Amino acid sequence: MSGTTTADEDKKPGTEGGAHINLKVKGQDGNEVFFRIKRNTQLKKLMNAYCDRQSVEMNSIAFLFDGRRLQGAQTPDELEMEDGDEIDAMLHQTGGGII
Amino acid sequence: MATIKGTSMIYTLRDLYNELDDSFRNYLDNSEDSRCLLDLLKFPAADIMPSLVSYFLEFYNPEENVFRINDQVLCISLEDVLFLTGLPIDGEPVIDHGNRDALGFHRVFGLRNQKFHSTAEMKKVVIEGKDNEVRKIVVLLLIVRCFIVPSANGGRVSTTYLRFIENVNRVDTYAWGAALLAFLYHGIAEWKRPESKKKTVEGNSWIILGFFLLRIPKLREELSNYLKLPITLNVSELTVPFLPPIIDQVGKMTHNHRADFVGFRNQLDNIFLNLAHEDVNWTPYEHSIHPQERRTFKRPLSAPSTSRRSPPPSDNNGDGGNEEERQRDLSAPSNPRRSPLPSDNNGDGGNEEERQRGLSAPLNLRRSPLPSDNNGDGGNEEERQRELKLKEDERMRDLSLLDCLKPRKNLDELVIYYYVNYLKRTMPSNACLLLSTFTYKKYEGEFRKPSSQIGKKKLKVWKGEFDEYSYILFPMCFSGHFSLDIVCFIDKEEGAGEILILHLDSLQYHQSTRIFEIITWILRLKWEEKSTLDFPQIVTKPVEVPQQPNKHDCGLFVIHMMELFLQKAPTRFTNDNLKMFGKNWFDPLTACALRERIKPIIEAEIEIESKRDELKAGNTLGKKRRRVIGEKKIVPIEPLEHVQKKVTRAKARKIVTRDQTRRHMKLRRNIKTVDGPVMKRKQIKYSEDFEDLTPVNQNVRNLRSTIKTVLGHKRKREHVDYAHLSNKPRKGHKLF
Repeated sequence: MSGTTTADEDKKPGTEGGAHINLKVKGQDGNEVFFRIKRNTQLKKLMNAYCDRQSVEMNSIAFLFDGRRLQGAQTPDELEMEDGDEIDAMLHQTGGGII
Repeated sequence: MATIKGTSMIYTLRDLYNELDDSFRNYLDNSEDSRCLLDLLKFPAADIMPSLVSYFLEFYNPEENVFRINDQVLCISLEDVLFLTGLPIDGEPVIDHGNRDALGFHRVFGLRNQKFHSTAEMKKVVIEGKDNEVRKIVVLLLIVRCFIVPSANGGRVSTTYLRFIENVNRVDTYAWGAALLAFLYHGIAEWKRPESKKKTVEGNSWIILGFFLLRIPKLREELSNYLKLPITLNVSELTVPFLPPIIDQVGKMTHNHRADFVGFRNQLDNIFLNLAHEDVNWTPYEHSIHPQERRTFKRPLSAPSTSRRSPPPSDNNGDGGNEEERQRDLSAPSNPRRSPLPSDNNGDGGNEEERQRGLSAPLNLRRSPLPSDNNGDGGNEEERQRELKLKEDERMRDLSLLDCLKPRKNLDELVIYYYVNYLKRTMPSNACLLLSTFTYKKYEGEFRKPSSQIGKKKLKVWKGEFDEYSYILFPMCFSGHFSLDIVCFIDKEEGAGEILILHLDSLQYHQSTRIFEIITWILRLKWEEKSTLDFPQIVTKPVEVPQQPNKHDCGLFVIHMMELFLQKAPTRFTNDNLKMFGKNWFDPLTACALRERIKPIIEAEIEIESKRDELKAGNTLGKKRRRVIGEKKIVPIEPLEHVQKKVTRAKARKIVTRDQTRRHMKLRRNIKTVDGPVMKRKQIKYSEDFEDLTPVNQNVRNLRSTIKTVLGHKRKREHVDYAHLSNKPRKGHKLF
């Protein structure tokens, strides 16, 4: 799979009835990472890419959209996501008393 | 003139190693784990040249963390630490929260729990101890104390870093080198502050000395001329660690010249004030093998990205600052400083790996057909299998969450998330908005940003009108503690304020004022979205609630408080309703006993969540199936009253007979651990004593922690006279 075809597609996203969608993943620190994925791509790909990028463990991050936790098998289509929507990537911690 | 630490400390290590008996020394030499620290034991010892180091520090610019010498910018980087000491600079961070492990001395070494033990006492454990494992941990603790974080606290050892070395198998996974450098920078910055009263520079100053001796060849020449001693330091032939030969050399120099270098100052000025670019060896390490190519650090299995990284280049391209940046990127696992990935992938010139990663999503997708397609044409069996496997994996991962519900474990935030889902499902209420801990966390992050960035941001906490709900429940988790915040919208006619913000904390540990500030800010943003009128009046109030008798149940308290509040809350809150709270709102032991009850609930919620996307994908079946799953109780859930009854019964009997079920046994264990009767009696005593002081909580809090600390030493309990405590809280006792 060559990089050029993707680049070509990227240039004309609007013409294909919005097959692609831009999503913003926002970390706890307010850091934003932008992703462009197909509407029917499983979000697992995005999560993996994000965790990889930030060098964090997948298991320690909860991805939330509108307050709901995302499942890897879901797609933007199923969740009715719109262009520019924001996903929160939150480190989930434990609490008991004082560390 | 600066006094320099890290000099006598290195003697401590050397002496320690020399005093060990042969068999234990062999044991240490042959030990496979913790090598990175144990190797430091073999470093030679010598007196540092304090006047020389303080001369270097004159050039240090604390704002930029660099040495500025005649327009040359030098910076001690992670690479320097790596090559000088051989300590790993990559790995898990060693972050000390300033918290001592209050019970650590007894737990690990069998010593009395106190703030500090002297190095001499610790040495005694090493020399007289029997258990080699324990002795090794003491040695490691001393190494950390003397080499990584040498500080000027009078040769005392605390338990702060104990948790990083307690498990010897994991010692090598920590970035000790990074910790050393961070501590040194901090020490220098503290000492450099104009108002600072510190006389000593804390941190390992051998790094500073080694750095300059390596980087400025002229300095070595002048030193050997001045001392009439040949300094043989052939940089290109050194191997990691570089520091031992340097210490050896310096030892020779200082042997007869301990006083100072007064006469040498002129020569120093000569070198430093005229330092030119070519006077500095910018690449001292180019001939050396990079230590991380030899050493393989054990790292957590599920961090795939780290294995892909190439080791940092061994040449130093001259700019100390840049070098450090690069290295730091490698060492900090979650460094947020990288620029966001541009969405078109074209902007980021040159970084092939990043580009690949960014592309991976769209690329792969073309290969894998979508789930919704599959549903349509009955499609590809293999794909469906793969998807099922993915879901199963996720489900298993989520179910591992249940581990944290075992006795005495700290609750994960996700438990609260799932429990909130459960409450939403089973106690639907139009009056009450239940949020998860993530909401508060998110907005806390936003709050910290400069106001210009957040000005026009839309708030998504809830849709609809400002006062659509009567209550908003904000559970929160930070600093390793859970607490609950309740926003009550009060009718205008009823009370003084329109909005009441309550904070319920089972340890009174979270800072209420800060939380109120953030919640008010959230409400104000929401208000300003729709209305231009004046923001309604806000009344804030920390509420007294039953206190948790241990260090691990605050999550359960939050869960219990949310559920009780939902059950009892009137449609509109009035100030009268505040009476429902208070320290006798519920029996603390009931909350402690909730673990067993919560387990099936969380399990069921995870199942429901994992099926959620299935419901949406099959559009035609969706609604029907959702209803079925929504109503289905997978495991019968124990009513709250049962738990309460059980607690009362167990308390009444104290001893549970043998034929009772396992669950009762567990309950009993819980009750035993919380030290019920003793703790309760004490608590009630001084909360009455200090009734008038409740707004100024500090005294009560100090006292409580004092008592708790005392209770920690179970054996000591009977010797302590509480009477004097109730009058005068002891200083310096932190909550643990």
